[in-house]
Amino acid sequence: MAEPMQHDLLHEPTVATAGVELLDAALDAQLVPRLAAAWQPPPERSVDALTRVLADPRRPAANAEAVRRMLAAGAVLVDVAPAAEVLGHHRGQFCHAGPPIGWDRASGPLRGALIGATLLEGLADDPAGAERLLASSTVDWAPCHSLGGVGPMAGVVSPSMWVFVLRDEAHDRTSWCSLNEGLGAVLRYGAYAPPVIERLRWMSTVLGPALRGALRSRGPVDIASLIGQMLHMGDEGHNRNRAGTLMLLRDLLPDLATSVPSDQLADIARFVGGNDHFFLNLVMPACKLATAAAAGIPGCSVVTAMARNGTDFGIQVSGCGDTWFTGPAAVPRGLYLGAYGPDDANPDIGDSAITETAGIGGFAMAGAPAIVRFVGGTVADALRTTREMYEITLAENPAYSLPILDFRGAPTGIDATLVLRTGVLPQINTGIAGRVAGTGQVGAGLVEPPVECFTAAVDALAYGAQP
Amino acid sequence: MMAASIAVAPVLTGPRRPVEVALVTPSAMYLAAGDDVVCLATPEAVRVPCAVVVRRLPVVSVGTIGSIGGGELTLGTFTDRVGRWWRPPRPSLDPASAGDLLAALDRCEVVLGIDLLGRGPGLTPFGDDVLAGALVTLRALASPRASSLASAVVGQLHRTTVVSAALLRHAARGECIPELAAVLAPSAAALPALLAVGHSSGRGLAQGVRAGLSGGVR
Amino acid sequence: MTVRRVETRRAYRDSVALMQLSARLQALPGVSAALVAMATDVNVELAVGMGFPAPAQPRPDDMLIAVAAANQSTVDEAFSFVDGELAAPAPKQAAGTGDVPPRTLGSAVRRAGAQVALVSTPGRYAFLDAMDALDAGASVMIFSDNVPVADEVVLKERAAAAGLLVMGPDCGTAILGGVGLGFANVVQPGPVGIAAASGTGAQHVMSLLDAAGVGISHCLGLGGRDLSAPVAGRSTVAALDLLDADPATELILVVSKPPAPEVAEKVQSYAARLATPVHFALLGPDQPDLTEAVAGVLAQLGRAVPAPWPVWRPTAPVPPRRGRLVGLFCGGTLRDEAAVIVGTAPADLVDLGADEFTRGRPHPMIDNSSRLDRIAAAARDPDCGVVLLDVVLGHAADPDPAGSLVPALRNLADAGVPTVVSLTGTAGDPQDRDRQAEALRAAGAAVFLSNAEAARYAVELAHG
Repeated sequence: MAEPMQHDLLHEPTVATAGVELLDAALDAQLVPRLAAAWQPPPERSVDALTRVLADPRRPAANAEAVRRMLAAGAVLVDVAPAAEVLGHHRGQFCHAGPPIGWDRASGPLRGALIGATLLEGLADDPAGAERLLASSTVDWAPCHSLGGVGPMAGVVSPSMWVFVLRDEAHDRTSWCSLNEGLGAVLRYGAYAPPVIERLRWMSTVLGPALRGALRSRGPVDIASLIGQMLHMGDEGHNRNRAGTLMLLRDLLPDLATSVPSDQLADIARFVGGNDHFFLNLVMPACKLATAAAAGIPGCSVVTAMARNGTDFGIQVSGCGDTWFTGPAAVPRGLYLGAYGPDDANPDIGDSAITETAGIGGFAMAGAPAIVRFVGGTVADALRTTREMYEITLAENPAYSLPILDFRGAPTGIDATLVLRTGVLPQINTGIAGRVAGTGQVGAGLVEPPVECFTAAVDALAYGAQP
Repeated sequence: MMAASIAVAPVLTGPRRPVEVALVTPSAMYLAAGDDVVCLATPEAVRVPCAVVVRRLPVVSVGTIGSIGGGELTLGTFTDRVGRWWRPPRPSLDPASAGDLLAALDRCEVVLGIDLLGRGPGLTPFGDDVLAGALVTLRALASPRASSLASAVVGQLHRTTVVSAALLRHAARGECIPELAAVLAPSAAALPALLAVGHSSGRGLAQGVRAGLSGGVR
Repeated sequence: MTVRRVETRRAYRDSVALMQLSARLQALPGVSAALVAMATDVNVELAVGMGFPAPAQPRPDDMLIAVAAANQSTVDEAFSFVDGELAAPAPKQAAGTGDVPPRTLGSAVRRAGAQVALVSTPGRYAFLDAMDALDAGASVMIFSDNVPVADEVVLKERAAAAGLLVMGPDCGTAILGGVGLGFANVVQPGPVGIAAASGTGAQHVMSLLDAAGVGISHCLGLGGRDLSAPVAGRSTVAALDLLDADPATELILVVSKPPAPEVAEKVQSYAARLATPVHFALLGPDQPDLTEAVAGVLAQLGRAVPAPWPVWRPTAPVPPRRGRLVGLFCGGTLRDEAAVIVGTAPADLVDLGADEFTRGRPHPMIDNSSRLDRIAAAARDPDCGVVLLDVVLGHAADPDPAGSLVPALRNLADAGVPTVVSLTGTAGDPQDRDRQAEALRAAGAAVFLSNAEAARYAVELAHG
């Protein structure tokens, strides 16, 4: 039985329009309230696919369910543990950021990080030996995403590294992410010099166990709640995590103080407090829990992952399960550290675009005016960026609200069909890795996914669409 | 182009005759042609049942004489024609569904005080707004008391202002502003918007709705 | 020697804006031919047909610019004029506060709280925009044409499930609570609710009712194919429900081009169950014409039928001459009605609003230029007995159709060809119906408010 007709239609309706301006002028002449869409045609090659996807009778309910799940997902830090324990990995098994890729096509930073991880695990004595081993394919690596986790930049995780373990009780799901190493020459940017490896060893032997001890004594930390708070404190959860990091330190410090020796405590407090991005590695798995909850719904056009491996940019959409839709990763536009310039930059890399997939990061730029110049813009640009993202998303997340937009919820749930129809690509805030293996971070800036990812995803949705 | 209420179609489309500017506010202007009153209103103004919506008000002062009729209005250098017609809301209400609304009206602070009578910068005396609210409500309920109250009120219109008298005539036919129609949908959620109308008019109308619903009208 | 230059740009403008741009280019001194259009196959063909070389790898979402002129500098000037126009900032975009316009119709519906969405994007995309608006909770009027019938059915099914109405595709007019959408006449509120699968048909019956002093509650468009077998009257049924529930509607008039018999039967039996009486004006042989249908409505309302319907006869009539009846229409339904009346008499009736005549040219209801050439040809044609034209007034239509037609009509009168005009419009229309009629009459035309009467008179003049 149909719902009753909307009789409002017959009482001086307000009109939304798309198309010929002459018809808008006729409405203006009658003093009719109206709003015109700034319409542009979708890419010609996708028109038929878009038509099939929008006609799919499952889509409206599937998309509504996807965003309902995304907004309902929780994220609580429940443990800190070695990756081997969490993933059941053995020596010679690695994870990395982005869609799957082999050694031959791997970029400098990913190669560097894999070399570093090989050295860390004692699988080779020197970088040359590590490279030979990696090229020989006797070791194997898989995307973090394929194991329910995420990794920033190169995202390389080896069995002896420690990871944060987060739970979404609402959907009975676990996610994980490595511990953040700090800025500069670090493994995730492809650096593998001895100090890098030493720091990783300290993280596995001192930092990880200390955090685990403090957490077990304190009890779980609600990361989703901290994200909601950091967005009110000038962080956007991707390129600015300062408030989140300090709140985490605040929450853990009393239990750290009672569980680790005082010299270690000072090192840990200095390490965490001195690394504004420490909390990024908690934001990311929290976002992964939200997007994973929305995954795998037939007919659903919501994007559930955006990730880069330094060569390819890949996305996943809910209605197509774990399939990656890829295109060439672009070099971010941004500011460079010291004497580095665009020629030193590697194409976009890392799973950290999971933050934008879940509605924060670049999507919450309006809430992070302090970093607009760092990513090359004005405060008005930041406001405009977030407002544009509402045009390609299906929901607003009340748990992640933006005070400057009158506490409007962050734009959440990218609809791949809206990206194609509007030509507005998701805005990603990102760090920039050096092109040459071993360099580390060279800058930070803004980047968008290649449109091919969305074209391919919509083609696949169209192929599986119900008439 | 003007968007005119069908309630004033006889004045607008009848033979051309003089019209006088009776009252000017920042967003609306009342024009009198004999007993007929037309409200020239900007799109932002409260949409009274005798409103004729124009993009901008003509710059004329009280007492200016113009002409109205034949689908056209002229005031000084201002001339405009009707580009579309609209029907003012005339709500109808099932008494059985009004329980929640009455409870909400009892909860909300509709202050009825003798001190408000005829005071404040509102266009209509508070008491008249209460009467208008009651009239529209009784019409919406199709109550037999509607006609007796309407004739009592219309017979006494010489006692109030020209503008208020005109609006009471519309109320006596059950015509009202959209904010009041929304409340009588019925919807308690629409009350805040009604209460925000004018200086005290919305509160007066709400008071009248309560009286009309609770049988407090004699 | 002529210089020709064809290029494409990554830009989009709506078809009316493009035609206006083409017209402005053509008006530049020295320009002999110009076309600015989206680079669809049809438009590329059009450019080639105009003598331009085909552009390299045109993409349909590119803009095609083709200019021919006597010399290179004029061509260059024309291109920099177009580029200047394309570079001009989009209006109504607030700067500084980071405000962004809605990018999709669905977004515009949600932001404005709109109850209805008006889609006039090219037909290839109209489905996407209409579905988006339905998803956002608004009823939709699809002004666009060239929407596949299967897509129309999908939209109407989705709308029915959501309790919404789809008006269209190819829906030219609607009036909702006095608000005119598309080509809309200014009508007074009144007791008659119209559901129309024919835009100009609806405008015509409204203009006759207006002349009889009877107003309209609403006019709901259905789309020209709604009563066809595949669409099966889906919007007709929805519109009948809406009008039946509307307290202002005392009588419903359904107007349609010839329907599929089984659909007509289904809709008629559905209508018979409603509380509100329903009249049908379904065009076709052996069916009452629109004027007769309106007379039936007036009779049911107890209102007098104007006798005669308004007519403006020339002071010095052009004597009749035997010959072919040349009908140049902008309303498809008005043409079809005339064709039924003309029957088998020698006649050539064209609907210049049909797709094949509006490619790259404005609709004759907006701009008469496509008719002026044919009127001039008729004046030179010794076989032409009479010219029959329709003129349709209202919002969005040509602001002064008589202005451009009068010189052409004088030319016809000078050539001894009588002209008959079917004028559709109301007293309140922005063009001022009576002034338009007077101007056409002064140019020698016999002007009828009833299209059927105009057609009969034209037949009489040409065939005796």
